[in-house]
Amino acid sequence: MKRTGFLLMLALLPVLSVAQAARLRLPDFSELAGKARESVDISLDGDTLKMARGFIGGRGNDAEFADAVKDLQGIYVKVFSFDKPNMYSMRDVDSVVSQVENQGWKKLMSIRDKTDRVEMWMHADNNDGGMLFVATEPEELVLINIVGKVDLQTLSRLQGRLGVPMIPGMPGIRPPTPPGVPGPGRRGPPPAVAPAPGVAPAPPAPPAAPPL
Amino acid sequence: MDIERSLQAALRPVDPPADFTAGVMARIAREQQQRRRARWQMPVALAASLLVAAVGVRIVMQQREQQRIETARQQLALALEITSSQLNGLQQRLNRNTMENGI
Repeated sequence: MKRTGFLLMLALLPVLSVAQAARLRLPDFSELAGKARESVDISLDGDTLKMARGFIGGRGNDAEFADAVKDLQGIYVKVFSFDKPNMYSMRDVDSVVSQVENQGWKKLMSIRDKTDRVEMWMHADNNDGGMLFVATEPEELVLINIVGKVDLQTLSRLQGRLGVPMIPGMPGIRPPTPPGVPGPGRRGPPPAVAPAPGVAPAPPAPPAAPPL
Repeated sequence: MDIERSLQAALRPVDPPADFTAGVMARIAREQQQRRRARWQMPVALAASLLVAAVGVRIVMQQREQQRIETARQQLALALEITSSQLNGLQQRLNRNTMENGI
C-alpha cells in the first residue's frame, strides 16, 4: 500500500512540478514597502483563487471577470510607488527575470529606454501557461506573475470594469486612455522597442499597434 | 380553677379535618413533582446555552469566511485591474512608438 502511494507520488511529481513551474520566487519586498509612498502586495494562490472564483457571478461584467480567472492558478502582484527615484535595487528585478530566462520562457515584449524598462514573458508551455510582467521606472516598480492560462485580450479588456474604485494615485493603475488617443507622454526620448527573438514584431499597421 | 379549665379547654384533643390526609398527600406529590422538574431544569438550561453558543460560533465563523471570500475577491479584482492597466499602458506605449517611428 505504502509502495503504491509512493509510486503514485512519483508519477504525479512531474505534473505537480510543471503546474508550479510558472510560479516564480518573487523577492521579499517587505522592506521596500516601508520606503514606498504607496504599495500593493497581492498573493493569491490556487486555493484562495478557487474560493474567490466561486463567488463571481455569471452575468455582465462579472461574466468577463469569471472568464478571465477561470484558468488561473495563482496571481502575484507587487507594485511600489516612491517619492524619490532609485529606491529599489535592479538586482531584485533581475533575480526574477533570470528565473524565467533559465526556465525557457518566451519574451513576448521588451521596451527599454534610459529610465524605463518593460518586459513581458510568457511561459513556454501553453497548456499550463503563465506570465511575468515587469515594469520599472525610476519611481515605480511593478512585478506581476500569473500562474495558469492567460488570455491577454480578455485581461486587457477588464480595466475599469471590475468595480475597483478609481482612486487617484493608486499604484500600478493608470487612467484608461480613450481609444485612438495615444497614452500620456513619458520622460526622455522615444524608447526602442525590441521584440523578443522568435516573436514576430508588430506588423506595419499604423497608426495602432496590434492588440496584445 | 379557672386556669385549670382554660388549660383543659385549650388542650382538648381535636380530630383532624376529613381531607387532612388527602391534603398532605397532595402536597407531597406536588413537592416531588417540583423536585423532579428542578432536576431537569439545569441540564436543559445548560443544553440551551450550549446550543446558543454553538449557533453563535457558527454565525461568527460564517461571517469570517464570507469576509475572507470578499477580501480574496477584492484582491483578485485589484490584481486584475492592475494587470489590465499595465497591459493597456504597454499597448498605448507601443502605439505611440509605432506612430513616432512612423512605421
